[in-house]
Amino acid sequence: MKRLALVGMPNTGKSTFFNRLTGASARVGNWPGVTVDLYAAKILLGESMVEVVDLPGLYDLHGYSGDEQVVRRFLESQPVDALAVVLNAGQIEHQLPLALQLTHLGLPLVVLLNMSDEARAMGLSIDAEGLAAGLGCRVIAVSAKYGHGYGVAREALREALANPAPRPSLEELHSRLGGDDAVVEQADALLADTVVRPRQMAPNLSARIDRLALHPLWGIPLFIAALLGMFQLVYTLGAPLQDAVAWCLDGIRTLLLEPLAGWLPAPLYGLLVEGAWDGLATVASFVPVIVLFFLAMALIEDSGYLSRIAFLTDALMSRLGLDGRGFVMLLMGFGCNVPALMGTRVMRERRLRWLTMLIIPLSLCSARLQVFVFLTTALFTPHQAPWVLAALYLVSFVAAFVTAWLGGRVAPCHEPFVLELPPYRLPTLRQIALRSWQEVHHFLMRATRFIVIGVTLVWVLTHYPHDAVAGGPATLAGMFGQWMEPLLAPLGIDQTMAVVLLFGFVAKEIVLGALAVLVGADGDALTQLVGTRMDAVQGFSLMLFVLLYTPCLSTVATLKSETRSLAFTTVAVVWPLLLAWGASFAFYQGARLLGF
Amino acid sequence: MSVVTLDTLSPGHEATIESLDLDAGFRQRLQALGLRCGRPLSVERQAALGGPLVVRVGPVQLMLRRCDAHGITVRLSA
Ligand SMILES: Nc1nc2c(ncn2[C@@H]2O[C@H](COP(=O)(O)OP(=O)(O)OP(=O)(O)O)[C@@H](O)[C@H]2O)c(=O)[nH]1
Ligand SMILES: [Mg+2]
Repeated sequence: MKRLALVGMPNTGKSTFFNRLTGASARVGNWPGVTVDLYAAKILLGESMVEVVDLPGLYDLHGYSGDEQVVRRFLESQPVDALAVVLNAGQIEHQLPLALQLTHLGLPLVVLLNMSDEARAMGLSIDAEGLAAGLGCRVIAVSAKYGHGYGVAREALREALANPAPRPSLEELHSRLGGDDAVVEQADALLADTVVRPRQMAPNLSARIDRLALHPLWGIPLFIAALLGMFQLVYTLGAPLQDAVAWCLDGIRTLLLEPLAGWLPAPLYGLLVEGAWDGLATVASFVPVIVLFFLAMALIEDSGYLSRIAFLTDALMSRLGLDGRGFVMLLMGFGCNVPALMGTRVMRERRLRWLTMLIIPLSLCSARLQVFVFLTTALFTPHQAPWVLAALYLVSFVAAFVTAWLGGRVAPCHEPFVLELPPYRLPTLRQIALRSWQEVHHFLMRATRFIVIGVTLVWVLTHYPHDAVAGGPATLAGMFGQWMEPLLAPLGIDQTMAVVLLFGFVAKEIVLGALAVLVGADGDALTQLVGTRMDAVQGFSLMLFVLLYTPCLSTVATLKSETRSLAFTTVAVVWPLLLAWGASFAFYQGARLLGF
Repeated sequence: MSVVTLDTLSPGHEATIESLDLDAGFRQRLQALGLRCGRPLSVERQAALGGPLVVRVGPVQLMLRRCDAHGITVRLSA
């Protein structure tokens, strides 16, 4: 099979083009360093199957950060038949040297002048023919996002792959991966002949937005307001949708499941309906909230605002020994901690990267959000609930900052860095739809793997030995609870929660499903029953604990695989646990002392 | 026309890059982004509390920390 690799600087639209070419759904975002690993898909191009590989961005062939190393290692170790070099046409002056360097590799290549829509809007004129003559390969203006020029580009790629050029040996390639300053002069000469940029830059929208968004005084308050607005929106729109889904799932239970499974022996019925189904249904009713939440995240990620946030928060973060990129990763962690951890590959300095990876698991991810939306709805008035949620986000940040500050004392670090502020962009409907579908898909995968197994096990543990009262002290869960009691009682957490928290380690959503199993109800009944089991202070203490304690299994696995350090992973597991216990203890005892 | 380090410029100033006295890897990165000797740049804004600068080089806007900008000497345009 032939192999085609997409290369280019970060944020030039490689993944967007990859998605268009292969129909895959690689993650796209207006932030340099979204793709940090190889992503491959097979397609039929002309008569032959081709493996297309989406690579992380690279600035030049000397690349020195982790994600750039991925590209180099790939080019050095994997046979490639052709390269599609993706350039941002609007920044052709800065991107042409990389294209020139790549022509020296001796591989057949096609240069795609991407974002030609933006280049045209800037009034930039590029002579593609002239460039093609200078570079010795096809040069095609395209817009990966809107599809202009896509047909021509695809055809050119097919041709490049069809003409069997002698594949340079890997050693040869390796020796050519050097690079030289001569390319810059060569590029400048070529640019002088082919590119005309209007002398006066048209006043653009991005600059006008930035005047407000990056304002020294208003920038940060605006950011906080935007964040609060987003959560408010998700909450307001999500609640009715969530009720609707819960109602449907309840209907399925009474109309379909109960009659169908009614003949089963009681233990099996309990296991399937009151265990697996109730647990899963409770978690599943949160799908609309999660989808909405990710829609908002996708909008922010694609807007280009993330780089601005890095700019606004860098002064604060530098005092904590981190930088603005770390703050952005915390925000990305709101969705899921795992991609945020991967995103730290753009950091080169190991201590900086590890410290950032230590704080990301403290970021309140969407799985925990489900638990909190549920508990705040059960324990607080609709008026208070959003504020309680906001308080939890605040705690999440404070915990991250404290951790960073302490870590920075132990291992101070500084890495010089430069970050591009791309123009503001809006995602297309297609991009948004793709992204939310992916999140639902991701959720369903988790649901079938972890959540069903987790909640079923919780049901078993709370119902065996079979002669014990369900959920009572004689069950396995009860025994475990008694054992943990001395640790949980000072936090105001009921000992029956011990087993729930234990399984929450696998995936935090299980906490929610397991709660349903434990209480033995779902839907509205569950909400009411939870309200009778704990008061607001106990509930908040529990939420604090769930927010901070040990990261979920996927996060721990990522921490381990990204650092390859058992010691670091142990710290990253134990520290949050201590922090969670300390925070819950301080809160619960403090609140009780004050008479709440 | 005076030669100063980039971190001393305030928003609105335009200058030409004279030299990059930075660690090799970082210099390489800056050069790839268009910050090369002899190229013009302008400082667009600066964050509060000693935060970073936004520098424009041709069509690109970059954020740079002031301590890193200290390693870049520029010649102020008249
Ligand atoms: N206007 C316009 N925007 C585009 C085009 N192609 C991509 N974009 C946007 O550019 C941004 C970056 O796109 P990606 O596909 O994530 O870029 P990438 O090269 O994969 O980036 P990294 O993975 O970070 O290296 C996203 O906001 C895209 O929506 C285009 O042709 N025109
Ligand atoms: Mg990408």
